[in-house]
Amino acid sequence: MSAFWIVLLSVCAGTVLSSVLACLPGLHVYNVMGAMVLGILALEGGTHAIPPDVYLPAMTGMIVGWSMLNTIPAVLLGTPDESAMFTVLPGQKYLMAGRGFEGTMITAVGGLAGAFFLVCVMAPLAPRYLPVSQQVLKGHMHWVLWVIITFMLMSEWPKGGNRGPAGWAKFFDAWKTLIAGLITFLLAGLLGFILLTRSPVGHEVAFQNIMPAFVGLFAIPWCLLNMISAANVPPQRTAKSLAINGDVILRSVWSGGLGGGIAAYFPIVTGGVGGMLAGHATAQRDERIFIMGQGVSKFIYYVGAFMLLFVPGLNLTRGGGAWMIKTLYTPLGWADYYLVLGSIAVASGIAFLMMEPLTKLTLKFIDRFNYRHVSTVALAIIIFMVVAVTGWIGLFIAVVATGIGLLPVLFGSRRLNCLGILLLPIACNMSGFGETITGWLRLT
Amino acid sequence: MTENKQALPGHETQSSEMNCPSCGRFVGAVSKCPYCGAKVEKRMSLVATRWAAVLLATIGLFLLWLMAVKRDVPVVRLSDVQPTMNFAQIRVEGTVKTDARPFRTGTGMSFNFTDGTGSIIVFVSKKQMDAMTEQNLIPKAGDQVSFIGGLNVSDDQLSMRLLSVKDFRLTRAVAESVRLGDITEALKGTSVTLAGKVTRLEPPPEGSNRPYALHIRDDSGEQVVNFWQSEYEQIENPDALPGAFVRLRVSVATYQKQLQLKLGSARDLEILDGPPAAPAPVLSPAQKAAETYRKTTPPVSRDFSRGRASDAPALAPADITADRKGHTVRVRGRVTSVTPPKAGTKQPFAVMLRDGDASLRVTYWSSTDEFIADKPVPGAVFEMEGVVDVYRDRPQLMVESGYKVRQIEAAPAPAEAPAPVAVSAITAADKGQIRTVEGTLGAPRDLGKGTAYTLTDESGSLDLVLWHSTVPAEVRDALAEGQTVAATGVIGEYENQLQLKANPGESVRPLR
Amino acid sequence: MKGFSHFMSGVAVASFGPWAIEAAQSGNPIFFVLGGACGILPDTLDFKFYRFFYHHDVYVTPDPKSPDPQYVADEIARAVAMAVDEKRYINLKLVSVRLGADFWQQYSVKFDNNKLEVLVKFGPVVNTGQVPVEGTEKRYPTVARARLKAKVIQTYDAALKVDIFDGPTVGLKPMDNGDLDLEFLPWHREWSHSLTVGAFLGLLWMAGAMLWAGLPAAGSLAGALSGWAAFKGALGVLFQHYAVAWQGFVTIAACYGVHVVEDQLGHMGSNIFFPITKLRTPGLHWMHSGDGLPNFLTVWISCLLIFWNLYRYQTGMTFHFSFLHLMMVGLVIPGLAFAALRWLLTRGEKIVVVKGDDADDEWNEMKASGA
Repeated sequence: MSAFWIVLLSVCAGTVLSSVLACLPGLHVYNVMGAMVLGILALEGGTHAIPPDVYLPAMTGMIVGWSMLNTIPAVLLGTPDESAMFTVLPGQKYLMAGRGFEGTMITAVGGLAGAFFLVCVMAPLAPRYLPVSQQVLKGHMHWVLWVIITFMLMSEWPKGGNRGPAGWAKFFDAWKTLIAGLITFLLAGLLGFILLTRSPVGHEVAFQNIMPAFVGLFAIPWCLLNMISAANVPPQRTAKSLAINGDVILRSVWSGGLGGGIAAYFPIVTGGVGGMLAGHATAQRDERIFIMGQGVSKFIYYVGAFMLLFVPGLNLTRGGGAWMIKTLYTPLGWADYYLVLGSIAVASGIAFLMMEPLTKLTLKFIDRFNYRHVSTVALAIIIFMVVAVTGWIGLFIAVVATGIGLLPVLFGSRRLNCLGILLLPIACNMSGFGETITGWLRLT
Repeated sequence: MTENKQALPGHETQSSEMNCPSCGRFVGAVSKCPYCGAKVEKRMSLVATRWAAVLLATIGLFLLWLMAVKRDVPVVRLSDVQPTMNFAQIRVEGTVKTDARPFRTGTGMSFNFTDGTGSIIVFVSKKQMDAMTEQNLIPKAGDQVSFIGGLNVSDDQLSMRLLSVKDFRLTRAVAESVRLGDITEALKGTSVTLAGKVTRLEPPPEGSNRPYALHIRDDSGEQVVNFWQSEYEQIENPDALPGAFVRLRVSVATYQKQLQLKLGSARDLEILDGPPAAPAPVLSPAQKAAETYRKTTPPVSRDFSRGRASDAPALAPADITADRKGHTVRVRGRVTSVTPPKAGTKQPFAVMLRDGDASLRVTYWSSTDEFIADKPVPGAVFEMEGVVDVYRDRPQLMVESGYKVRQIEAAPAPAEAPAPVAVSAITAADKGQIRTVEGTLGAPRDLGKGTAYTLTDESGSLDLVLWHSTVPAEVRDALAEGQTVAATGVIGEYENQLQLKANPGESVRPLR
Repeated sequence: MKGFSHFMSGVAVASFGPWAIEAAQSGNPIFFVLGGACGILPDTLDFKFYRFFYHHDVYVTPDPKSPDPQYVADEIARAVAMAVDEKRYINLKLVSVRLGADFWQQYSVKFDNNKLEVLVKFGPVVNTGQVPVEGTEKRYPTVARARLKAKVIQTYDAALKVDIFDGPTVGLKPMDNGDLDLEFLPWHREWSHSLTVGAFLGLLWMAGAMLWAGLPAAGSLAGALSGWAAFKGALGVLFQHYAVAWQGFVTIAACYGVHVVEDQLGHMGSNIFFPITKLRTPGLHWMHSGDGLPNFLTVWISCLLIFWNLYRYQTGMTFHFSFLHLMMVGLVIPGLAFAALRWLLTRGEKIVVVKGDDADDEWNEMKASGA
């Protein structure tokens, strides 16, 4: 079979597989890819070795399919990953108004618009301009992280302190949530120092060191809260058209592209942080733009970060997907770049076409099954994945991280503070005093 | 909730704990009603969840921390390292292959390590390097070490980063005690212990980069041990050295074809109270061979050059043209020159690869140089992989990873220098020929990319030119005005004046 | 302007200091962090500290169980009467009415100076996204009225609409002609948004850093007064020894100041030279502080300026470009392309872009991000 057909079939297979898996709440594509990497390495050198012509386009399709279709459980089942926390809120509004289908499809349009932007605008310009910015920013990444941390912590507004006479009582009432947020950030940072310096996870699967912590910080608390206190979902209706126009799409691409681009390009900055920064930067008021923009942002964050590995002359590894590919393959040049771009384009089309039928299927599903039961099943799947990949130690890490991840939810602070798990230790290491801190902690 | 209006969406099933039991107003999560002041009891599960979260977060984190600091990091053989072990912390035990080399940027050092099943480059940060210097833990070739490091594994790279100096165990390679007269070239590359009486300590000339020369004598002979200013400053009482009995651990090397004994650290120098005991005689090779040991065949370590779509053969420099710009290629050629970056600048390294008449300029940054195990030297054949770029209409290769620079053939041993001739015997007919001249150096003249001296012997003088790209810095730095040297090079002509262009490598050596 | 715009402006201003770049290249992020933090600091001081200690004379607290617009109107009229009778500044707090975890009773206040009345109407129930709940618009059709003792002049076109989270504070200031001047959020930018406060904070930093650095080495200033050259040398030693101190002062003062300057482009204005000036100087009305395009342009141009400053001091660059080139590639060409695309995609359509009101945008932003 010619290389063209091998690649095309691999892309289709990867996209379809991940699109279906994306509907399962709580399952992250990086978990699935991690398991695939183990499988590919196990078969390496043998008669059933999987060549790069197959796994490269397949994994590209998986990332594209997942980043597009993960919106379905994020909106309809309320079990997002950390990068979708902004999608949930306005998406949940649509859900509670019986317009979950519309909200999901608007996000999907955002994903498709993001694909156009990535393939038609960013991809041709990246090999020309990204190496320039790499040179300019060389040695400056550390303060970029510190500045992001500063803004993250300073931009959280107090929620309480709305009632009562002026004074210290009112002040403390307001600062309760802020203090909870700061404590969450610090505890997550401590957890990050431990895991990045002396992780208890077995060395054989060290490449998934952080996975149990992320699951515990974001996925498990969300499932638990759904199980405890989920509201009943009102009946949903499908719509024949979406109330959007070219202006909405363009503005969404603008704001989402900025957020996703920041998250894809800068290390450690994830989709949630990028979305927050872009939301602040572009100051959009229209809810449709917000939802669609998050679809754009998510797509560009996951797929754009993956694409950066293949940009000729750049040699930039961003995002879990790229790191996993790097254990298997080193991109060679323009041929690989075009392969990945073509795979992204094909996969985006397939994923978008699958969006409507899968959304309708999921709506039928949630109509039939209790929201809480779905979250319970999701929790079971997540726990199984953690134990299967990282063992009981990984589960213990996930449990500890769950404690930290529950703090913002239960005390009303921002969940983004949980990203201190990576932001704090890596910013400290980049600035050169990470070792001092790990020395104080007796980790080194 | 209002009395006379329908329930708001979702409030039909809202938990009663959200409202004050006394006045019925919505109060949310507070425990005291802000309207009437009544106490609001909270559902146990919410309170319990909050406490559980706090306890999990704090106590759980503490337990995790305990687990992290107390756990025994497993010993892993390098041949067993898999890509899934990326970011793993493992313990390795084995031998240091090369002396630790500090980075040009001063940001740390690296050394090569092997455990018998594979080898790996190990990086040490500046803070760790300073601590190791203080504790005399700087690894030298042959030392046995055991340490914990963090693995960095990808498709084509394998390296480790030292985790902690506290876990770094080092057993110095036993340095044979030898008599001064028994030190020969056979000991090159090893460390030995010698003892004797210091006859004199020669400091280097003012402003020169030359080392100190410690003359030491025992009943078998005399030797000179070299060390530099940084080691001199570490010696506690250097004024006590002349005339004192000392024991030192030195490494045996050659410099300009002569044996050189180098003191690596002031901690390797011990001033004795009295004459030392005579060391045992050096074992002959046959005697050493009698000390047999069983060697198991190590398993083949993982090949980290997987994942290629095709293993294309290396190209020649002539094949690299401007239309390959942006392509990743592998090029093989003979190194004709290596130009390191000027001190204090952030220039890249520049290497010229030649094959036949074609040559190609290859550049890489200092950060890439740190990863190159065998450094390119003129004369050696290297294979380098990088991205083709075009600079001033000429193609060049930018190497991005030190792992992609491989030595194929070592530089040939320099041909024996011809016997020295007098300056007056050199004529225009000798242009292009290699000659050796012995004479005294005049004042150095900076040529920009090289240095020139007037070389004078009893019959006359001619210019000696040393180009920076071909004559190593340590050779050039050892020269000074007034020194008597033997210089080998090619006879050339410049502005109708004959000159001697020093050969690459150690082609100019001081004469005693 | 939105907080992020102020923040990035601060970082951009900090990037103009060569010491910031030098420190960053050595792994020290302090000046950039200071720049961003000081860029957003004025609003932080107001919204996270000062407002909780701001005294109010009258609290209007409608009962969520039976919201009564007449009570609200009467209380507002009482506050106006207090201001007139006691001839002093009266702070009036309009407290929000929370009905549920995600529901708030909206009400609005309007001053009719022709009839000398205040009108209060309870509107729909809104959720935390300020979206009305269907079917609640006509719960309270009554418009309550109360007589005012004086005219209340609103120079600032703020919508006195109370819904989610914290309700607004209104200041009633007696004027010479007997009328009252209405000030929206009097505690905001009362003293925090001033250039002098920024300089003062810079001085605090400088003092602290100088104490930390201690005195210069003995003898380094010897002979400072012996001549001009010696004096210059001594100054150089002092500047070197206290580098972090004065560099921090410049960074803090400049980055704090840029926030003040940016806020003057809006409507509310600031008390620019507190304590020398006593009142807020009205803004230039060039923009609404929540407008999307000005905010984005501020952020994006700040990023380009930062990029330019980093480029200027980066060594070993193999790519070279001019400032004009950067602006063309980074701003002008993408902007034109975006405008052209927007025109193409929206031809023949009437596009309504939701605009903000004149209410201070930090206030709206605070409420919006409280969700």
